[in-house]
Amino acid sequence: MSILFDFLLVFNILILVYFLLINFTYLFLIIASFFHIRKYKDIDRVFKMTGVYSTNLYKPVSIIAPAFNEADSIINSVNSLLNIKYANFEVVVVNDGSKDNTLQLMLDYYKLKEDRRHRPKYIDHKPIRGVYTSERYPRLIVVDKENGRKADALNAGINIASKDLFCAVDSDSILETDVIIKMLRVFMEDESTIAVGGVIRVANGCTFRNRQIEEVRIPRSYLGRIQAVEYLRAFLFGRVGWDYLNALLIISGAFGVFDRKAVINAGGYLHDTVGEDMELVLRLHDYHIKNNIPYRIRFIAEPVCWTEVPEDSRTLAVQRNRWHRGLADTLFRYKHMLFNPKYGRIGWVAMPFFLFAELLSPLIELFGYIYVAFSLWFGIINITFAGLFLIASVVFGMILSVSAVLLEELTTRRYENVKDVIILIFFALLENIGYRQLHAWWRLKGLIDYLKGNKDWGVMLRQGIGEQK
Amino acid sequence: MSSYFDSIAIDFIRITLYVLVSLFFILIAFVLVRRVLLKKWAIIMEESEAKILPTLYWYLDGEMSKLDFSNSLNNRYEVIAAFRNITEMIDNFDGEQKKKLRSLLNLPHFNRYFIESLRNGTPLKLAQACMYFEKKHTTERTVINRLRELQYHEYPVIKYASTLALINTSEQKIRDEAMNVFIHSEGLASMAINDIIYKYCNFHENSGRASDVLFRHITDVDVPVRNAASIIKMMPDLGFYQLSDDLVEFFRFPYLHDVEGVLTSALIDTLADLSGRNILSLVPENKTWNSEHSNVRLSTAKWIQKFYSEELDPILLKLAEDDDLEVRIIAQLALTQSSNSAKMHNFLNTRYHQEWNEILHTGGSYVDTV
Amino acid sequence: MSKKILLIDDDTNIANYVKFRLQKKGYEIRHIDNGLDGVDGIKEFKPDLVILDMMMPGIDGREVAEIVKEENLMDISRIIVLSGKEVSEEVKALFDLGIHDYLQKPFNIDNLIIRIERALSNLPSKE
Repeated sequence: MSILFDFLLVFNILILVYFLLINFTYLFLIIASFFHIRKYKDIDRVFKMTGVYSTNLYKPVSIIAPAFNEADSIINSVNSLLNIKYANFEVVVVNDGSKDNTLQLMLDYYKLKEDRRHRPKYIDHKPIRGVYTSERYPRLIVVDKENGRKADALNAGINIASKDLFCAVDSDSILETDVIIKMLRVFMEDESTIAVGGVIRVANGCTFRNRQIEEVRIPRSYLGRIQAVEYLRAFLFGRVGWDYLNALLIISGAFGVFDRKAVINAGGYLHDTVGEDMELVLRLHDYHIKNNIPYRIRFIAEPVCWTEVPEDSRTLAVQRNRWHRGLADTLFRYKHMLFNPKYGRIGWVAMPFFLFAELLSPLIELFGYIYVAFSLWFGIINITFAGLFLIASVVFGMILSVSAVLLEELTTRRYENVKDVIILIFFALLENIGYRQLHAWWRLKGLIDYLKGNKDWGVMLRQGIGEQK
Repeated sequence: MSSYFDSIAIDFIRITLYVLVSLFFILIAFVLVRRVLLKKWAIIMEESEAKILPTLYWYLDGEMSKLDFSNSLNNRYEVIAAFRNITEMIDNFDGEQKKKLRSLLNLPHFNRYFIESLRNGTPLKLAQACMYFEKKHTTERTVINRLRELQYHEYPVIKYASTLALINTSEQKIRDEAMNVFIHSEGLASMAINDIIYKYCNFHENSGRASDVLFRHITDVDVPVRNAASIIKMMPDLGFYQLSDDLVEFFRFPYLHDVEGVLTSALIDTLADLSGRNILSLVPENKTWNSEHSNVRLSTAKWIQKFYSEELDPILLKLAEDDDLEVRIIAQLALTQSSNSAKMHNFLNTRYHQEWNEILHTGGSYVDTV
Repeated sequence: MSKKILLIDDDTNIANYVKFRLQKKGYEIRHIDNGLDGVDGIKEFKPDLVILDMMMPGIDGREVAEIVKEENLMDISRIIVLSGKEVSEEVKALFDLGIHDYLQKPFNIDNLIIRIERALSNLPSKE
């Protein structure tokens, strides 16, 4: 009995240490993000990059948007992409074997004609059925290919794209018109920059007009609001903080600008993973470090891409399950980077953080709840301690979420209505009771599914944003 | 032992809780207060703007003197509103109005503030000050000296901004020196270099002299090769055709300081634009097709593809078997122009036959194999 | 009755000043800062002359001109186009549509005013 007692005691201390370590890492990330965002906040206004409209002094960009069965929104989405403010860019829409009339709609609307030209294949993908261009819209290229995964469509887009940089976007997201200019600033600061990620925010609840966001409001549903908080937390201080440490591991698949050559050299997107966005970033790190090529992978807090999030729990569960499998898969593929001195902060800070605080957290968290109950039963800890510990862990979570909302408030401040901010703060609190545990459960199932070898994407029901008023 | 541990833990957690909860309420209060203040500030700014804009227009129409305009700025908000509008309008306006707006930048309200930020500001303030002096076309000695110091700043952004301000002064000597310091700095992004070079040449009253200066930088072994390569790549855009002979000479001359073929490949690309076919004989002479760097081989292949000539087929055949896919494709595409193209596969390694056949036969359509 | 001018441009700096200058000359002028509302503005305001910026977020100047032409909202020769680009394919296409004039940004305001007045005096009265 006393061995069990000691064992449980040691375990209690371990849990406490884990709890402190994770939360103080988060706290550090918040503080770092705050100063990092503040430092860059106004710089866009200082540098107008006057040449962007008229000259070819700046690197040209291909915007690659894979589309699969998006007949409802495709014209609006593509129009909004064509409206981006930049001198030298093209839009490559990859129709990934849609079963509806996505392709035909584009062919008709943009008066596209088949463009037969030799196009070398630098990275592998499913066969292309046709490439279409239009005299009327010289910036647009539509690629029709056999269905593969999103990674496959992006690879086809990378092959067809002709510019130095490419920007990978989800075709159903809405980009603000000045995003490319803002992203380019980073490439202008440092020649070795190969990838830049930008902020993605929840579009549900916002109104769109004239192919642009008109009013930034919070979503109306419970899950939508919770996710609005989650996205703020993940982007505003998660990734900004990692950028500060120069150890960014994720650039979301929905929005990132990459150096095309660097991605081709590293081999393009990987087909057989569900986490192709994170996998690519890790591979870029790995490739450049192994070959001793200087590089920077950055994240900036300002450019914004608005995306629709699922508001029903089933779709959300599938999505989070997939994200978690992607995370597990990617971390497993790059396990050699963990605690490897060659990879510096990535090996010593970012990888362990993603392993313990992200991948294993649902396991640890759910285990923790059971464990505390168990310890209580056996009288190893007293009820006050258990209660306080639980409250502390929930409150710490609340503080993190609330800080994310506050960080938004202190820096970008896109919600114009104070009421929205107060509601979000309330949901930041609420997130930690109920949703957090449910989320941990979804992710735990994702982890289990990964171990079982499930590589399915699952289906996301789209409600379609960007309808015009 | 256990109860001792427990009581410490409980105390610890209790204190954490207290701290967190109070922090939370402080933060909420802070947000609310800040919103109120910001709203108030926004209203004041709007009012200031509404007051300043008409006076600014009167000034532009000559109904108000500069002194009267200056006297009409009563407080900090109005100064900020005025500055914001003046700088934005300078970018958008042209001609007489632009000149008049620019002269407003000399008002002591603005000048004092930016001289102070230039002296000891955060990087952001420094950058703002640099952009202000750039707009103003400053010639003040103390400012120029400080801007020159900033050209050695650790942040590339500040290096770039201070150079931009110096390039915009009216004295050619200052511009030359600024260009010289800038082009010798390491770690510059090519886009920043392009920007500076473009403006430097635009402002130079004598384009012949500007091209001489640039050529000197290209051949200077102390200029980092990436910077030199950026200048070389700008030549066709700048229309400096007069430099093509000098560049040809430079291309012939062994430049040992090149790094990873950056300079060579830039030279080949630019010469293909500036001199074209006339210098095709340089290809066999310089053996760039045999370079260890794929970018040099790629530039060579593109050059030959552009100015195809049958006697270069042996070189193309070699490039058509290159390890680098891009080089291979360009060389094979070039070979399709040969009168012997039907027999060409006899000279190619069987490994590349499929690639070659597809390029030859599908000609215009895509190749889906690698 | 004073002539009506509609200015469709997302650049408020220029727009405000142009508005100030034209109002002084006794024109009735309205400013709209985006293409979508611009089209509605043409329908409601029934201007004698439209000054249309090419580069606007959302529906851009060219699309506004095309909508005007397709839906026959007004005489397309009553449009003066402002553009940041050099004379390009795009501007050529606009002239093919039948626009009145074209001015490159950044432009001299006095020049714009002169062109506006000339256009208004050359064009036949709307009635």
